[in-house]
Parts: sequence; C-alpha cells; structure tokens
Amino acid sequence: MANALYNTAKEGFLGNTAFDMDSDIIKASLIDAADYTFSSAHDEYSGGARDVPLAAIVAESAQLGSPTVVNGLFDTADFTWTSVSGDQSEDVILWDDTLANDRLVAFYDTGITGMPVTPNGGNINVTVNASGWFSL
Amino acid sequence: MNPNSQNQRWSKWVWFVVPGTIKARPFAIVRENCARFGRAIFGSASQMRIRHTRRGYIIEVMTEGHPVHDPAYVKFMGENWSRFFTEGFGNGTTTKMSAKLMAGSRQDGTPADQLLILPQISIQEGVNANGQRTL
Repeated sequence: MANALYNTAKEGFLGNTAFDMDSDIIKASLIDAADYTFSSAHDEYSGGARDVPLAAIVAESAQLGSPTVVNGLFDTADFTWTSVSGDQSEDVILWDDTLANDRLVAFYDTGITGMPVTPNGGNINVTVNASGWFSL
Repeated sequence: MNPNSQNQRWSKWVWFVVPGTIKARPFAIVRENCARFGRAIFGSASQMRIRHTRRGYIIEVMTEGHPVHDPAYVKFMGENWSRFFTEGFGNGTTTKMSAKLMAGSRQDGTPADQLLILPQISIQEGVNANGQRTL
C-alpha cells in the first residue's frame, strides 16, 4: 500500500460531508497491520459498521492540538500516545471524532521513521511532518 | 535512521526567540549562525528547523545522544543558547526554551519512550485507468 486519503474524506472535502478539519476533533490511532487491511472505500472508524476492527487499534490519541488548514495543507501539533502496550504496529490512521461513527481521513503505512514499533509500555512520541499531514 | 533502536536517545529542543531592538539580522544570516552554533553544540546527528514569525524566531532541533532527562544539562544548554542569542540579537533579547525526550530511556526505571516521524501525503493530479484526470 501507500499513504492515502480515504474516499470518504475526499468526498467530504468536496462537500458531501461536513469535514471541518481545523474545528472538528481530529485524532490519530496506532494500528496493527496484522488486523487491518486498508481500503480506500472504508469510511467509518467506529460504529456498528466499523471498518477498523477493535483488535487493530493499539493506541488512540487525544484530540490533536493546534489544527490548521492553510493553503490546502492540514497540520497539527506533534502528539504522544501514552503508556502504550500491545502488538507490534505498522500503520497510523487519522480520523474525525466529531462526525457520526468517526469518519476516516487518512492512512499511513509508508515512510514512517521508527516503524514498525513494538510498544513497551512507555510513550510513543509522534512528530508530524514539517509539511503537515497532507495537502490537497 | 531508527530512533527506537537500543542505546539511542533522541530529544527535541525548541527555542522561541524575540530579538532585542539593537541588531536586526537578515533571516539567511540567522539561519547560518544558528546552524553553525547548533553543529558545534549538538554535533552532526541533528536536524534543525528555523522559522521566522512576526513575533520572533522559532528554532527546533531534533538530536541524538544528549541527556535531556538531566535537568542540569538542560539548564546548561539553556544558558549557552540564551547567551548565543543575546550576543547575536543584542540586549533585550528574550529566549524561551523547551526540551523533550522523544525516544530512549529516562534512566529512571520507566519504559523507554519511542519516536515516530510521519511523512506527508501530497495529492497530485494523476490519470486513472479510464484516462480521466484524478486527484
């Protein structure tokens, strides 16, 4: 796979869903690739028809701080998953906690420095790219 | 680079500097001087990012091998950098520094921190299998 935006996010940015990236509660999760296979058609992080199995979620962040949308670029502050334990993890999912059933935004599995990571009970600090999460 | 390999300790140091009123410096000169001073202090296993905002400069350094868990060392670094900025920008310069362990042991018996650095997704125009332009 490669890093990608979910179709639901692309459609949302075009107006089908009310994604508001710098106002909504945006979170990031650490994902075990053994329990989740990316599909661009996936749209719900949680809910009854959830596309991301609970078993795949190794850690969830709090609301990401300082979200900005400038010149088509979405950025946030760096963040930390605290006291993480669980399976070796390979992927990161960005999702919108404000929308019903927590809409999926973006998937990262390529080019993440430090991956795969094996949780050891300690913190996992995440540095967001200097150019933000994604740009349109 | 694998910041999570054993015996490595990565730390992030951030300075917010409001220059004094005496010496205005071009950004290129500030960047060059900060890079030179940073190399001397931190060594080459470091990455520096400098931004110029309306209120001042933000200098971020990600570096390996420094005992950021040691308050005396952090204080020592803070004093050195503060002196450097004051000499460069003149009296009245204010400096705020933060230092954070990003990966490695705190040497206090707790599990080591680990670090991930994310890439960016850039949506480029492409052509799909039907020959249509897509994003």
